Amino acid sequence: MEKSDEGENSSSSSSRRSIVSSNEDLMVNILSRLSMKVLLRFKCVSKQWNLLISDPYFVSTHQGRATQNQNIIKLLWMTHDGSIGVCSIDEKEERKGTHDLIRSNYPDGFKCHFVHMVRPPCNGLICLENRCSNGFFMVYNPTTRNTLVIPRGKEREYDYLEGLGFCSSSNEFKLVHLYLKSEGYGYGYGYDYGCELSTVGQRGVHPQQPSRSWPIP
Amino acid sequence: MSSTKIFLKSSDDKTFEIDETAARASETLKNIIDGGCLDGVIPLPNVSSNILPKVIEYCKKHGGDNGSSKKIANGGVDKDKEILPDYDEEEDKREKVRVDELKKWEEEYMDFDQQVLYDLMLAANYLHIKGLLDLTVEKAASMIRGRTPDQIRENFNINSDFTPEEEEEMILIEDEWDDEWAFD
Repeated sequence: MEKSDEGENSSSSSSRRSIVSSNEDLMVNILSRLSMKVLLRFKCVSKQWNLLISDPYFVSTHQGRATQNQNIIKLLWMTHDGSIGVCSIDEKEERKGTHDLIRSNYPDGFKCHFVHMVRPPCNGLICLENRCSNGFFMVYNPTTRNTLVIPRGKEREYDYLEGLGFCSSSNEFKLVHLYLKSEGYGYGYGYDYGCELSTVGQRGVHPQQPSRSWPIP
Repeated sequence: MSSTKIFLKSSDDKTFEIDETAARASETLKNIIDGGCLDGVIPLPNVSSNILPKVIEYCKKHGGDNGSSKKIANGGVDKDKEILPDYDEEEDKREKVRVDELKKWEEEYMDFDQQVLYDLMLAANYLHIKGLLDLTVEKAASMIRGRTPDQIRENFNINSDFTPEEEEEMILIEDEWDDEWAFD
């Protein structure tokens, strides 16, 4: 095995590193192996790194790798005032009651009445719902810990269902909110449904509300 | 198995010889071979003669025995084996020794200084050698893990384009979240 040549000077070595750092695939590969704590520190390296670490593609790559190596189940919920709670459950012990607080102004989550389960994560983002009268949706990015509140429409809703999807061609998330506009039980005419679509793109949320609303016969 | 020899030419015009079976560890070379474009020497304008022998060393070790490199990825467990009724304990032991030996080899192989690391990473990326790319990327990640943003900028030749105020703000945000994070 031939040893690395002494003649290889440091300037060529540093240019190699520049090539690596400008190769987005390689940087995603390297950075997605680091913990979130380290990544938060590296967000201020440059604007490009900040963008890369916040990108949905990076978020999903990172989360895929992070969850792969873990034996711990995480539980995430939102309380009525929009605080988020996280609980780690160790598989070996039945219930390890650590509740890491994500928001600094977090009240005692276990005493709250409006605790709701989380929808399955969509490409790294998680959609939480708040079912109070002035309820809202919250899109939560566990990698950057940023939250985004999406208000529900003005129409009276009786029951609803929502889901978050990712459109890879536009690099945007769509929050689909399907709801029942009247209490139609017992009548033979079918129910009156409404649908609301919000787009969560890289430039924030654009609620196109109500983008489309139609009854289903 | 007697194997066809393939010749690789580095960026600085030095020629190296490699068995076809070993060369197949590289997706890029595999495609060239299968595509029938084997016209004597394969030029590799992105790989220098400092790095190419190191790459060939890896390919020799991994080419043609994809089985055991896969087993490392599965943590040494071959799931298919559990299904077989006549489970060969001896064979399993030999396999385990082989995997351990390979792990040890990789440890020694990866013992080089930083200059080589990024060259090797770029070569693995260019030649699509997934195992080698994983090894080098993992090493790079473990090297930068404990560094400050300043050291990172120096390492990757990056100029900060944040104003001092912006940077201050980002550090504040970071401190605010300075607790254990759930998806770490």
